[in-house]
Amino acid sequence: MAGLDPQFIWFGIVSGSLIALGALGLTLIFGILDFINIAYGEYMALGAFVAFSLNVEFGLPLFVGAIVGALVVGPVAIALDKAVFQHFRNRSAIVLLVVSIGLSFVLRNVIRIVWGSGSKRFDVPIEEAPTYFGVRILADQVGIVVLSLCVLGGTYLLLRRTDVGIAMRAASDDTDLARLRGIDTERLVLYVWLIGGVIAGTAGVMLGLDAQLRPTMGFTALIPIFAAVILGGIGDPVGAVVGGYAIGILQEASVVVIPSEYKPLIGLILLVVGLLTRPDGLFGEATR
Amino acid sequence: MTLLEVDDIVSGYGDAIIVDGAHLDVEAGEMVTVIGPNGAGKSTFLKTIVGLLRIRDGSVRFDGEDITGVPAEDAIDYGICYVPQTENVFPNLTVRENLKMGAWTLDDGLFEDRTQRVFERFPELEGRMDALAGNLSGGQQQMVAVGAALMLDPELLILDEPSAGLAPDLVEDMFEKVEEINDTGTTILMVEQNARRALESSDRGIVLDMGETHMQGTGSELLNSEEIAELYLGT
Repeated sequence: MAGLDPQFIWFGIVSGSLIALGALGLTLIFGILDFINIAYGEYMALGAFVAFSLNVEFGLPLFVGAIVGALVVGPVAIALDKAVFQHFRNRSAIVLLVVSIGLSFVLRNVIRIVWGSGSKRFDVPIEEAPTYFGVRILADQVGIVVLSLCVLGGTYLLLRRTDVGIAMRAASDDTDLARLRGIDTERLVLYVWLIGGVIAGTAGVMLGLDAQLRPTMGFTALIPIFAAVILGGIGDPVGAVVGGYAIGILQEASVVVIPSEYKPLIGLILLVVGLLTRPDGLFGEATR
Repeated sequence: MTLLEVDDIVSGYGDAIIVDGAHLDVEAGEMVTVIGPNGAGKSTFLKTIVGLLRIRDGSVRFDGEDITGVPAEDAIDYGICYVPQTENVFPNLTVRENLKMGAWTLDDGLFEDRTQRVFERFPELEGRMDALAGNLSGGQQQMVAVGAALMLDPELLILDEPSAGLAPDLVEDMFEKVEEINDTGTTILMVEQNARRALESSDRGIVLDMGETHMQGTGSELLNSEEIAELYLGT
């Protein structure tokens, strides 16, 4: 290989941040609820479109739109749980998976009805990227990476340092034992939807900032996110983040050897290879 | 004073009725062991008492209060702590975090004090506070499981096979620990496969068979009964 251009590493870190964030939210939800929520892609898109409305239609600064867009998805995720998932709580993971596919279709088309199916952009100036150390670095990209690291770090502290966070990890390990300890697991479920929803919304806004907004944007982004979740060991937040960055960097670096339109294939390949070789994840152990 | 009264309870999984009319009384301060053959419904019996399984008939009273149908997350509010046979620690949590979860409903101010008491009971845990519970030996995991249950200083400690899976030299240790806990005034109800050893420590025992209470008596009565020896204790 003719030396890996640091430019691709930077692109990889940017996509890795997006994938890691999406994977974190998805894996947290899986940890407690034990099913993969396909509608998660639409949660991301929803955050992006709410931010778009505030930013473009109401002319507010993007950061205001981004904050509201991200925060609004939390309560929406709780409401959708109450309206839909709660009725299937004790059903098998397959039933819940199918329900979430249905919800995904419905939400995607609601987004189409409200915002139209064309692609959209946030109202941010298109600027010439300054070059540092031979790498073109956009301010938007720096924003994506820094904000991701803040959300990832904040979530890590929440899971390690707060009682509610430790209880979430406990319930993720063993729901019955958590109940025996007197932990109200139904209330934890609400917290997890709230946090997972806000993370999805944040990821969606940044996805829109990195490229364009489309009703299918979240759904399309799901493959590498799934790959990161599986690679990290499903339900393992740290693994999901490491998996996210690994896939992001590999995906961008792959353009050195394969045409860039095949980039998304990397996520799919890693997903398959991951499932075949390390079904318990990179750091997989028999405890899960 | 009767602490726990279990009357003719019925429970099971799906269409399978596992516990079918079992009954039991435990006096305050006693140690009572449930013995019986494999598949007699011993574990299911305990799970039903603590509310992990839905009770289909019968009643459970604790300290004079009716707790029939109280869900597992509320049972500890009455002072009942239950240690399952397997999967009784959170493997991806540290020992400290496991104890913290054991103290979930406890005032934060009492945490350090209770932790010290657990260390007095299980000194080995003190140096392993930051280790993941899943990385501990079987014996140490059992200590974490019992330690977490002791954080609330329960009135009634329910143990499902505390000696299961332990190396032979640790089995005796575990029985001694259970006796010590009982001596400090905690009432104990346990299920044990190691029936002979468990009955030696116990005030009373009951024999559960086919989901029903087949016989009850003091520990020595059961140990000396020829029928029990032949059917349930092995030789």
